[in-house]
Amino acid sequence: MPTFRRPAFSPGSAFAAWFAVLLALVTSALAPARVEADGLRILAATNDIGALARAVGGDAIDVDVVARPDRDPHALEIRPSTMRRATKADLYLAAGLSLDLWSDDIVRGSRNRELVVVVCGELIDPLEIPDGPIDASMGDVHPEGNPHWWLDPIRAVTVARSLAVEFAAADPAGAETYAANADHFASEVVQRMSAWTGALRGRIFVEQHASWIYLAERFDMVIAGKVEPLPGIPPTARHLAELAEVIQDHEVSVVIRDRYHVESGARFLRRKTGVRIEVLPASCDAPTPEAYFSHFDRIVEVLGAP
Amino acid sequence: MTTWILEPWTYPFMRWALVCCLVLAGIHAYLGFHIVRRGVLFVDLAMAQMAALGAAVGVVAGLEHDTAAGYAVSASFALAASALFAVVRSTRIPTEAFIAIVYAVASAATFIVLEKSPHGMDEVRHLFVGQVLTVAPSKIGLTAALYSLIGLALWRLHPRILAVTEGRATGGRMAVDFIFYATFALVVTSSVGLVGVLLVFSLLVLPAVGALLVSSSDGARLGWGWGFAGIASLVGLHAAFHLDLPAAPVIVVTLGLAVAGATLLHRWWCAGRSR
Repeated sequence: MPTFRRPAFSPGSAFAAWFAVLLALVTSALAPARVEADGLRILAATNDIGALARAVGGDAIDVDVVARPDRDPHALEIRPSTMRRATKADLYLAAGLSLDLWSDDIVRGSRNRELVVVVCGELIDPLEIPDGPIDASMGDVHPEGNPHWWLDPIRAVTVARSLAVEFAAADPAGAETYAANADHFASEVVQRMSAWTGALRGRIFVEQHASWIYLAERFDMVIAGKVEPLPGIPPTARHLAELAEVIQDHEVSVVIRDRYHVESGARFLRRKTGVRIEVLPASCDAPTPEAYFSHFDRIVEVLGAP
Repeated sequence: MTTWILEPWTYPFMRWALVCCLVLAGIHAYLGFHIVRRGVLFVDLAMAQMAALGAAVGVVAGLEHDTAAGYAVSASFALAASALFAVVRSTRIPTEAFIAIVYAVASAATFIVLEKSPHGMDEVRHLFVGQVLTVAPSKIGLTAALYSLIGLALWRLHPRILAVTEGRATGGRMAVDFIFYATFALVVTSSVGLVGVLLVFSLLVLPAVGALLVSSSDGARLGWGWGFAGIASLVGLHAAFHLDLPAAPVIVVTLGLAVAGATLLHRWWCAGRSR
């Protein structure tokens, strides 16, 4: 057995080493990393925004998305790949209207000084802006308005057109392509509008969370009630009993909830009234225009006329 | 291989995350040593919960995000808890019980304050529970300055704090205790805001326990504590980057493995020497 000598270990030298490492790191961390890219690199907060970015940018751009659609965007653990992309991205497309508080952290933490931030929620007229001062008794109210604007395809077109302008500013050579792509997206939406309107107009449903006002307003639908009495607040027994009455009185046939919502409230309503429960995510599955449109196909399937 | 090793560190956010961990490690290894010796392991969770309650009160009272006023409210709640821990000491009831009470009552009070405002809950979480990958360099700078001052104070007071920790203090125990818990409250409040509760708790307890297991002199223990925290932060961040996982949990697991591994090696080495 070889004899080991105990290493001489003085706290002074340990501190000196620790401090030296720290100093070296701070010095190197001050220099930002830049990577040259050929096409625009876009980082979008959600799939829906990613879909609009892809529709406008076409195949020439690189689109990545921060939030996974099966998780609640209110609470997000930031992963290294997200930060990597933010470091190298040209544009960050935030959702805004307080949906993605973490977007600020990502942008700031990326140390990417050339990153252009576009807050999509600021490009449209929001619905449900609360009148007067907001206080805690109103629940999870977003002070700037309801943040689920992408469920209105016409507002999505507005955002797509603005994105074309933003993309053109970042990449003037592609300006015409971006504008043409935005026009193409607009015409695809217009083409589908009559079918969607035909299927959805006048339909009545109950939602779990206040996500669907933009859809309802665009297609003249009626939201008979919400499982959550106030946004983000779990239902009380009394609220559910009242909602069950509303469902019976108005012959509501479906309650929709997102994948990450708790189902117990909706199950109570089904027991009471026989109403259908459907999982209908507020976001599309992938950051592509095809996924954006097939999300609406699914919406029509669930909420549309039988 | 070289790319695999160096690539994570080409990103500023990774380097800042490591700087942040090392700044925290510097003071937490020392405080953790006292916390472990005193057997008050969960005092930081209680303090953090008090600070969160303070943040909640600030949000409901309409204080602007991320301002000095918000921080002051949050810190004053944590300081109130430290005064309590300094004053309340019973021979019949272990201090852990008081810590548990503060934790439970502060959590319940936070729920009541935010009862009708889960958005407020989001805000408090966002304000109060930081993520190490997005921490702002300016905040790291401020925190480093604060911790240097606190570190200096602790260094001057070390013999007296140690006397209380080892239970051989005579006079002025309460004052020393208050200063100790107050510095602790300030440190925990700032650290949790930077990197979150889980990582703060682990940086306090794991390096200290590892150091106590492998070393017997005070000075060397501090060195070992820094060593564990520094290596685990480096390896943990590196692993989190390549596995694409949230950083804090990976650092904590790495820290656990480092301490367990060092302890086993140390046992094996001691057994070899005594043979």
